[in-house]
Amino acid sequence: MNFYHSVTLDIKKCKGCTNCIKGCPTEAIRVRNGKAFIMQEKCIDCGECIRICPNQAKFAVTDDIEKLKSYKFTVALPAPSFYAQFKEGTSKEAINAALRVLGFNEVYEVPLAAEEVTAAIREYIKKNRDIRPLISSSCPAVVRLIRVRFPGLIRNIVPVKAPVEIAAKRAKEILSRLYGLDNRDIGAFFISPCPAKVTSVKQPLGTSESYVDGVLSMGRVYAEVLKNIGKGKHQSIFGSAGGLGVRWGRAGGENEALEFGNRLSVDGIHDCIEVLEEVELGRLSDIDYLELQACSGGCVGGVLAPENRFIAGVRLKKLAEKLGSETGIDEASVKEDFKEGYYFFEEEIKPVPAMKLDEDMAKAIKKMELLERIQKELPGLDCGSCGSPNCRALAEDIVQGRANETDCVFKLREKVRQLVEEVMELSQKLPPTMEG
Amino acid sequence: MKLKKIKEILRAEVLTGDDGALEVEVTNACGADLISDILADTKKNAVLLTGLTHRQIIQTASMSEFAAIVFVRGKCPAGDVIEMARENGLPLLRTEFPLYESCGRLYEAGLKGDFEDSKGLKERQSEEEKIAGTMRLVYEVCGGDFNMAGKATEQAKKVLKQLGVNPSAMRRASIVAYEAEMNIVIHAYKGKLIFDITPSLIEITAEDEGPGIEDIELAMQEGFSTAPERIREMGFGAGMGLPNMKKFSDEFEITSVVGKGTKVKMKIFL
Repeated sequence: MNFYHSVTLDIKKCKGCTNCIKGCPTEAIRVRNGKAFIMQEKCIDCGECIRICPNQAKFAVTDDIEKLKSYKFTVALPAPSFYAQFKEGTSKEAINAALRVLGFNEVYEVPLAAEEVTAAIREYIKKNRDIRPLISSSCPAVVRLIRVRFPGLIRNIVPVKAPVEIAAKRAKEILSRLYGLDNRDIGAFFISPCPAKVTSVKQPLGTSESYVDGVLSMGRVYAEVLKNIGKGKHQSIFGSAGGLGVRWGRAGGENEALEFGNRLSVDGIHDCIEVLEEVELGRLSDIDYLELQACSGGCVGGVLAPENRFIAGVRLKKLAEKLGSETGIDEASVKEDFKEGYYFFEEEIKPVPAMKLDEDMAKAIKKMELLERIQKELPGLDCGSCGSPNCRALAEDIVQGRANETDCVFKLREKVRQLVEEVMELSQKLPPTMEG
Repeated sequence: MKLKKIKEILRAEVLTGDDGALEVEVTNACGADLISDILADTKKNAVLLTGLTHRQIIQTASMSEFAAIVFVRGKCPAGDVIEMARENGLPLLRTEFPLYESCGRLYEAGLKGDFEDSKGLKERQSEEEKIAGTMRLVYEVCGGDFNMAGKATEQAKKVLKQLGVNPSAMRRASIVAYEAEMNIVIHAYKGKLIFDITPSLIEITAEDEGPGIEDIELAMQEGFSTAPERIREMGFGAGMGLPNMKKFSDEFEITSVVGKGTKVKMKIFL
């Protein structure tokens, strides 16, 4: 299977330091031959390594704004967090108008779709009572994390599409109805705070094809929009989001909008892992809905979001309060569409067994025995100098033929010492022909 | 063919192994430079020909029950590796011939594999292998230590995932093991949590030294608990532990002696 990833290594900038391998939540990175490399099947595009790398050698591949030119009609899909990037008092309308100046024909606010999705999730929680906790599918890095590290919890994921997908779907439906536009002529571009969203468009989970045509880096678009704030006017044919949808841009916002059931919200990938471990032990069955955000602070903390996550978080909250809890969404029609299956995934999410030692379990058991023996002989310092994140990972790499025992600097030192001892011993020996 | 004969054919030097060891009868051989291929080899009474000389090769060969190792291409392992083989009673030989020629010479001399005529046998053998391949994980659990509670299950979970246990069995095993571990922490002085894993099942045994259970039938009822108030305040002791263990496992067995301890055995089929 081929994996598309937005998170990419700039090999020229990589110095082969071991910062990223230790921070990676799925142990997907190794340093070999002086450079980092990402193991495709384990990477979940969470962007932790982009944050950690001191040399800016990791980056997220996004689409170029030039791509707008390939479509007759373009729609901008700004994430809720986008509206928190600008100084307080900047209205959604002003930001949308600046997007028009940039070349978009229309703007469909993703927070508006988030309001619709909120209602759909509420319906789902009410109708499905046998699995608890249900886990939000909105953070694509979390969904991929579950697929790789917690395959037993795939059944807990709410199979409702993310707001950006619904935004693109709605926008295209309305445009083809009003203007008779063909879907192929409409380019829907998401303005994204994170690389995981890029991946979820290029290689979607739960659906065969995304309704989104391109993903732009929030940071890049921000720079352009900033220049054009106050310019232009825009009267959208689409609706406008209220405070509930905007809240989705920060951690806990999804739960606030949901206003139903016993909810828990956790942000930051390592905290997400901690709570998923507990769910796996059957410990959170009294929670109805679990909102998990891979980025600390939620989407405002995404690696492509330019503003500091705390500042953006406060702004988002204020904007949401100002907009109030009015919603342009008709709950009754959402319920109708829900029954029709409008919001659901079209495909099952399949586990990625990237943690498996072998396809054949008998072989995996043998490998595991060897792994444990090797691990016992390693120093257990988890220093990372070997290029693997910790001693156990090195033992795994040795078993899988990806590394050698002497990659461990301590083992190498031991070997050298033994060699020296042998040389010393030999140097004492004289051929019988020589005098002693 | 005796190991002695192999030594002659390959003009090999003996690195470790006495005359007695060279009398061993070898009926098959495996030539490989990849650990995973060597691990996958299921031949009996075979000699391993390889160019790998690190410590893992000794561990791998012992685990796969090879009769001896012949290092090819004149490769020689370090002193500590030879020492390790000596401790394991694994004879080591060394030849100047490369892998291909070493294999060829042995084949010519009559040491032929049984790949063609043993395909059926091989399948049966690998079935046997599957039953034989068991992995055991043992964790000590300390009674009353709530800070460490759950750690054993957490570690075992990692291993189960790496072994490729299917998601549903994985989930059930996690739940029953955690409940069993918590029972030891809550009720016993100390105990052990043991996982025996084979390709067809996971057997989890929780054995403790503790007060034991007076009335097992009563203890198995949902909602019944003898946990003291302070433990209930922590959210444990809801009386669902044993019923959950029974519910999520395929086979459940409990024995207890009052004043001595309790043993729970659970099976989850894969």
